[in-house]
Amino acid sequence: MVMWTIVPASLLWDGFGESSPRWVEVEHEGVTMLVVPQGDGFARLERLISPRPGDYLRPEWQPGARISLAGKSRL
Amino acid sequence: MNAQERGDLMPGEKAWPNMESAGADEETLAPAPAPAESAAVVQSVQALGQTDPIRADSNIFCLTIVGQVEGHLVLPPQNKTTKYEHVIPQLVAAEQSEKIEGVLVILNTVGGDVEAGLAIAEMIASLSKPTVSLVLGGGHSIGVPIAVAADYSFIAETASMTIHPIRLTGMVIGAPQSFEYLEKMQERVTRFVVSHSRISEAVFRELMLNTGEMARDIGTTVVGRDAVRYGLIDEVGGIGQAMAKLNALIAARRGTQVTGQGVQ
Repeated sequence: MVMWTIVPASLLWDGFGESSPRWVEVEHEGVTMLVVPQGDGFARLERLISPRPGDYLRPEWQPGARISLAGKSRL
Repeated sequence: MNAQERGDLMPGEKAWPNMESAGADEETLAPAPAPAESAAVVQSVQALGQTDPIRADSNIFCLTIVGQVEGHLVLPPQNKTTKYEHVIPQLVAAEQSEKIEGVLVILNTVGGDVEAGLAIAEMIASLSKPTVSLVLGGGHSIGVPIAVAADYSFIAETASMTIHPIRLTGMVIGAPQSFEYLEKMQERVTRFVVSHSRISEAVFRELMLNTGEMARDIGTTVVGRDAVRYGLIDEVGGIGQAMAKLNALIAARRGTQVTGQGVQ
């Protein structure tokens, strides 16, 4: 892992390892979603894992989207 | 078993007020009512600060590379990042989709992970569909190979690109910390840039190792027209020119496909 950037390393790595998001894997319609639960039955979608390329173009499944956890089973 | 399953709560009732507390793993998945379809746009605005990022009726896929290009390590939250695990499958989808005819890459990046950046650059370069890139603000470091990966590249008159040597930044995890390793890394980037733009290897190396340009560092910052003059970028322009070029490339590709079918 080599970073090639104009941002100084001290700024880039400041706070590295101090806190990490609590990711949870859920499954919905055969798709695995890596989400960060928001605590109100919804979660922020962090990453999609799907064998169908079209899934990555679905507007409601873009990273950062707020998704309902209803009907989704935890892996 | 969560609160819903126990029957303690009505559907949609907020299960636990403080989900972030330790040991709340089960409760965080408490069911909630599905959002109404009509609220999708509002949600998108709330979550992403924008409306739907991809319009189903558009034949152009727009990819934005902003902040740091993030690779195998999650960067601390003060960094705005473009994550390769998001971008790469989207490019696969863009290639496979019948609706999408061209890809527009918008860059305003400060660099980032070399291998993640090269992976994205290789994906863009190997797409069978027309690609056009536009550097706005900055396309520094690993942003350079991403910008030149497109079939045709534009740079805004005020945008800049910093070309500087790859070096250890004090926090390198699991990498053989040798000079040869960095040399090889630099070689990969140089070869990619030279083969995807009009710049010669000698000029690119000269810009990279220049000592007279930057106050406290080795390298060169090329701005707008200079990037075109060195042959790094094809043309100075903005979104209008970039979109026109992409549409022209799409039209040309359609023409070839029609001709191709005619021959068969």
